[in-house]
Amino acid sequence: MKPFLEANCVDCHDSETHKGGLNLETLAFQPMQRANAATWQYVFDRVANGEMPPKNKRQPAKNEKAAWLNELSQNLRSASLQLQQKEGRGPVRRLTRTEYENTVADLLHIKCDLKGLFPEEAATAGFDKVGEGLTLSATHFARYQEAAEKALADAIYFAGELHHSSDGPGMFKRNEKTFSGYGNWVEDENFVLTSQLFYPYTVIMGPWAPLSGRYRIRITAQARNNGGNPLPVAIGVHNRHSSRPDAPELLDWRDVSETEMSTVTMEADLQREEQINVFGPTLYHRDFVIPVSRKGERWTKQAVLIQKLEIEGPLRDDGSVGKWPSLAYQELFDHLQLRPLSEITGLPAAKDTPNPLLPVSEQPKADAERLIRRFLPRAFRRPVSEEVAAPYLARVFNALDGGVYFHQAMLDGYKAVLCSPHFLLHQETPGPLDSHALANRLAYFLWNGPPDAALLGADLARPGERHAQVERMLGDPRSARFEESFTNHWLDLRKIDATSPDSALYPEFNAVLQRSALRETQLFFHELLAENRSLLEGIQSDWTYLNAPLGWLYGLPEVSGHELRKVRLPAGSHRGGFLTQASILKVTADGAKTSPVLRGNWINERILGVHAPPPPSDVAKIEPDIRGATTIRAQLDKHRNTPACMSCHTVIDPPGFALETFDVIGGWRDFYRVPVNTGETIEILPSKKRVHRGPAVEAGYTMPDGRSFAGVDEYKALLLNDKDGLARALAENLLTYATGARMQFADRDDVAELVKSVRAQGYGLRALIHQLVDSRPFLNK
Amino acid sequence: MNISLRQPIDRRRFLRAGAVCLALPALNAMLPRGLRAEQAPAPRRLLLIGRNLGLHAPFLFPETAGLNYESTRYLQHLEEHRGKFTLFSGVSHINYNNHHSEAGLFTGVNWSRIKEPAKEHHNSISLDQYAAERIKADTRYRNLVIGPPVQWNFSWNEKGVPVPSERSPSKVFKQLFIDGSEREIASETHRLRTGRSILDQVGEEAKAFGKRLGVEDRERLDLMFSSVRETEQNLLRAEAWVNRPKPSVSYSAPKADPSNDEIIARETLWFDITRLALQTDSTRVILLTMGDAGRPKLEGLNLGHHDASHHGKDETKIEQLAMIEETELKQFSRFLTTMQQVREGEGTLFDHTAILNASNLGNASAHSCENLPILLAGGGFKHQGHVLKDRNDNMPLSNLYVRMLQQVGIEGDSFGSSTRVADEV
Repeated sequence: MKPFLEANCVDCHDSETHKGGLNLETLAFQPMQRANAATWQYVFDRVANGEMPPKNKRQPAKNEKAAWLNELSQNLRSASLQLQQKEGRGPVRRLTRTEYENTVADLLHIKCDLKGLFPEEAATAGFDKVGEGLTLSATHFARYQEAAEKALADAIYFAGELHHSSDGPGMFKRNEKTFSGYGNWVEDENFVLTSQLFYPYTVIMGPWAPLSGRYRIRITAQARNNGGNPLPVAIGVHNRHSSRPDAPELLDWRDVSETEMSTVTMEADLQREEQINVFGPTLYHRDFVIPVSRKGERWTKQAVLIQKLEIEGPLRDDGSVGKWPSLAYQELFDHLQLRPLSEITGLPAAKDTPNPLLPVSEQPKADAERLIRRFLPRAFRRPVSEEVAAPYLARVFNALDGGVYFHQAMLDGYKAVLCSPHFLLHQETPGPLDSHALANRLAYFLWNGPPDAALLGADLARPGERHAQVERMLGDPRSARFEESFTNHWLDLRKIDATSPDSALYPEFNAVLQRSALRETQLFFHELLAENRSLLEGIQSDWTYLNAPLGWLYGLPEVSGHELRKVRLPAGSHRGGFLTQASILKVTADGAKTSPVLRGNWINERILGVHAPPPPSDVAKIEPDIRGATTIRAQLDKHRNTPACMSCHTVIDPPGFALETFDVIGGWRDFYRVPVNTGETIEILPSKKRVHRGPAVEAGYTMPDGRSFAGVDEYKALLLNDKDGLARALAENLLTYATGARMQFADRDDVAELVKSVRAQGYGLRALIHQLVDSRPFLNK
Repeated sequence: MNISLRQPIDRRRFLRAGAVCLALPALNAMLPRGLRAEQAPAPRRLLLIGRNLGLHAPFLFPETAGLNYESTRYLQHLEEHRGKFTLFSGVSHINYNNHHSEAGLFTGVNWSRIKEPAKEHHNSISLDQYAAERIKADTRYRNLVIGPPVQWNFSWNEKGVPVPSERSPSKVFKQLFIDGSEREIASETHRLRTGRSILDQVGEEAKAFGKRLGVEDRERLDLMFSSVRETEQNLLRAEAWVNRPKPSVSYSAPKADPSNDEIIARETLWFDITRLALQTDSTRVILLTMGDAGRPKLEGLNLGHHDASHHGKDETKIEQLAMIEETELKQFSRFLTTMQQVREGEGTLFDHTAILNASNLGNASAHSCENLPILLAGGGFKHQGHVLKDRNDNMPLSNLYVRMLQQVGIEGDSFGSSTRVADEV
C-alpha cells in the first residue's frame, strides 16, 4: 500500500504539512485498533468518493487506484470482522432510561414515570441506544435504587379503581363561580364551553387518578355555531406539582359534530396526583367572551356543549378496568393473604397516609423461595442458574431470620433484583447470539422493551420463526414504542417542542399545530410500516395525514376537522414525504430563522446517509462575518467562499437550499417574514393577521455533482435517482438502532445485501425490517 | 502605567511576596488574645460555575492589565467587586475547539482524548471531583453537581465517566434543608443500609458477569465498578448524616422549578441555593452548570441564546446576545454580593470560597476555544483585577487549576495539561 500513498498522498499528508491533521508518513496500519481503523476508513472513503487527491492535483491511474482501494478495503474488512468476532460490534450495554421504564412496566404491569429519575441519554451515532454513549455514573446506581423503590411502591399501592361520571351541571358545579365569570353556562343539562385553555377558568377538571395507569375518557358533546363543521374537544394532563399551572399539557383530541350529540373516547396514561382536563382547544380567547358575559349576554359564536364526562381506570391490557389486588400485586405476591399494615406491625397507622393491605405468609421461607424463583427469570429475561439465584434467596432468608416482616423482606429482595446487572445490562457475548439474547434483541428493537414468554420460547434460530415473530410483534400495540422511539431519534421528533417560534412573526403557530405536525409524521411512518409501503415514499408521496390546521399551513384549506386523516395530495402541493412535513421543517430550524447549513447537514446525515467531517480546526478560527451580506445565500457564500470550506459545503448545503422555501414552522414562503416595517405585508390565513414582508426567497441550487434544481420538487426527483442510496441510509439507521452499535467497515457488505433484497421487494419498509433481522450484524453481538 | 508592561510577572511576584510578609503578622495581631492559638482555620471551599456559550469578548476584556483596568461594558456590572476578583485574558486549554470542548473545560485533558464529538471520550477527572476527593470534611455532601445539564457534561470522575448534574432546584433544596418526619428518617435509614448491601451484590455479580466477556467489555465493567464504589461512599456518608437534623435556613422553599425561559428567576434560585449550601457547610465543593439559556423571556429579546451567540459580527445579533450575557453577569454580581454579606470567622463566606466562573468557548460565533472568559473571585487570592497573558500564545488554563487546588489546601504541582503553577494570583 505504501507506494500508492507515497506517490499520491504524502506530498500534503506528511510529517511537516500534515494537512487536515493527517500524517500518512507515520500512520501505522493497525486496523485491529478501533481508532486506527477509523482513520484508515476515513482515508478509504475520501479516495473512493473521488474527493482525494483533490481535483486540482495529479490523479493516480485508474487501475492503480482501484487496486489500492481493493487491497485496503479487504484489509479493513477482515480486521473489522475479526474485531467483531472477538469483541462484538460494540461494548456491553445497559438499558436506556426508556428501555428501563418499559421493562419495569411490562414486568410489573404498571405505568409509572421512571425515566424522569435518570439523566437524559446522550445520543451517539444518532441514537440513545448506542453502547458507547451509555455511561454508568454513581448517580445512575443511586437512581436505580430509587426507581426500583418507586416502581415497587406503585405496584403495591393500595387504592380502589376509578369509575367517574358527571353530567353538565355536575361539572359546572365544581367551579361554578369561575366558570360563569368567564362566560360559560349550563343549558339543558349541558355545560356550554365558550373559551379555551385557561386553567382553571374554562377547563373542566376530572378527578385525581387514584393509581398510576391508563385511563379511558369518554366525552359526550356537540359543536355549536361553527358553520356546519365539527369542533374538537381535547384532553390534557394536569399535575398537582406542575410548574405551569396556567395550562394543562395538550394530549389528544376528537372532533364532535354540530348536528347531534356524539360520544368520543380517548385514552391517557396518568400518574397518581395527576388529573385529566377537558377543554376546547380552538374556542375563542376569553378576552372576546368576557365582555359579552359582563353585559349579561350569552356568547353566540363557537361553543362546545358537553353533556357527560366519564373516566375509568386503570385499564388492563384487554381494556377492562383493573380491580384490587392488581396484576402487579399478583406478580409480586401471588394470592397470599392480605392484612392491614397496622395489624402486621402492631403500630397505629400513620395519620396522613392510608393503612395499606400487605401480604402475610404462614410459611414465609417457602413462599419467599417460590415467589423469588418465579420472578427472577422474568426480570432477567432468560433462564436463571442456581448460582445466580442463590444470593437473592439468601438475602430474603437473612432478612426473615433477622425478624424483618415478610412483605418488607420480599420488597427489599425485589428491589435487589431490579438493581442487578442481570436486569440492567443487555446480556450478549461475542459471536452468534443465543436464542435468549436474540429474543431480547428483537424485543428491544421492535417493542423497545422486554421479550414476552412467547418470544423467549420461540425457536428463533429458524428464519421462518423469526419472520413469524416479527409479524406478531409489529401487530402488537407495544410496537408503537418502537415507532415512537425510532422516529424520536432518527427524525429528531423528540425535539419538536425545543423551540418556540416568535409569536409576532408566526401568529398562526400554536400547541395544536405543533401536536398535529408531530402526529402527521408519526402516522406517516406507521403507515409505511403497517402497509409495507416503499421507503422511497419517505422522499415523495402523493398522500399524507392532515387536519384543518395543517391544511391551512400547507395551503390545502379544504381539509376540515381536527382529527388527522389520510389525504391524497393534489399535484403541485410540494408536500408528501418526510422532508416537507412541518415537524421536520420545525426541528431543523431554531424558531426564529432557518439555516441551509443546519438543515442541509441534517438531511445529509439522517436521510441520505452522508456524514460530512466536522470543520477542521484551522477553519474554525475564521470568524463568520455576515455584515453587509443580504440574503442567506449571499451570507453563506461570503463566509465559506474558500476552497477548504467549499469542498464540504458543496455537499452539505444543497438540501438546505432545497428547503429554503419553508419557514421555521413548516409553512411555504415566497418571502421572508421580518420583525421590522418594510412597507409590505403578508396575510396569514385563516386569521387574516398580517406580518411584515422581507426579501424574496431564492429557490433552487446545485447538487454536489453539478446538476441544478429549481425548487424542492425537482430536488426530491433528483434524490429518487439514487434509490439504493436512500435505502442504504435508512437500513444503516435501523441497524444502528436495532443493535445498539454504530456502523462498521465489515457491515458494509451486509447492508449492500440488505439493499439488494429490499430492492427486489419494492423497497418495502416492513420487508426491510424482515431482512434486517436475518442479517449477520443483527444475529451476532 | 507603562513601566510594568515589559515584565509584569516579576513585578507582581515581588508585590505578592511583599504583601504576604506584611499581611500575616498584621492579621494575627488583630485576633483577640484567646483565639490566636485555637482558632480553627476557616473552611476552604471551591465553587465552579460552568457556562458553555462564552461571553462576547469585545464587551468583556479591557486592554489594560492590573487593578486599574479600564472598565468595559460587561465589567461595569462587576464594578462594585473591583479588587475582589481577577479576570484572565489570554488563557485557554491549548488546541481545544468547538462546542464539545465543554467536556474538557474542568478536566483540561489533552485535546486528542476528547476531540471527536461522536466518539467516546477518554476524559479524566474534573477539578470539582478531584478537589472533592481530597477535601476531607465532615459535610452532609462530599460535593454537589447542580444546574441545568449541558450536552457534553462538565463533571467527570477519575475513570472519565460523566457525572450528571441535578437539574431540579426544588429537589436540591429539599435534600439540603428539609427534614423528614421520624418515620421517614427510620425508613431512610433502612433504605440506606439495604442500598449498600445491594451495591455489594451488584459488584459481585458484575465481576462474575465480566468473566464471560471480551476485553473491551471488561474495560467497560471496570468503569462501572468505579461508579458503584462511588455510590457506596455516598451512601456511607448519607448514613452518617441521616439522623442529624438538616440546617434550617430562612428562605422559602421553592414549590416548583422555574421554567427554562425564566432566566432571572432560575439563575437567582440556583445561586441562592449554592450560597446557602456553602453557608450551612452542607458541602465544600460545588459545580454549578449554567448552560444555554434557551430563549429567555427578556423585554426586547427575540433570539435564542445559541442563535445569538452565532452572531457573525452582526450588530443586531450582538446586542441580543449582550442582553442575555448582561443578565447573567448581573446575576453573578448579585451572587458575589450575597457571598460577601455572610460573615464567617474573621472574614466572609466569599473570602473562603474560591469561585471560578468559566466557559469553554472564547468566541462562540467562531466556535473558537482560545482566550476564554475566566473570572476568578473570592477565595483569599491576591486578586489582580485583569491578568493579561499573551492572546496569541495562551497560558494553559490548567495552570490556574493547580493554583486553585493549592489555595483550597490541596498540595500538588500538576493537573490536567498544566505546565506550571499559575502564580499571578
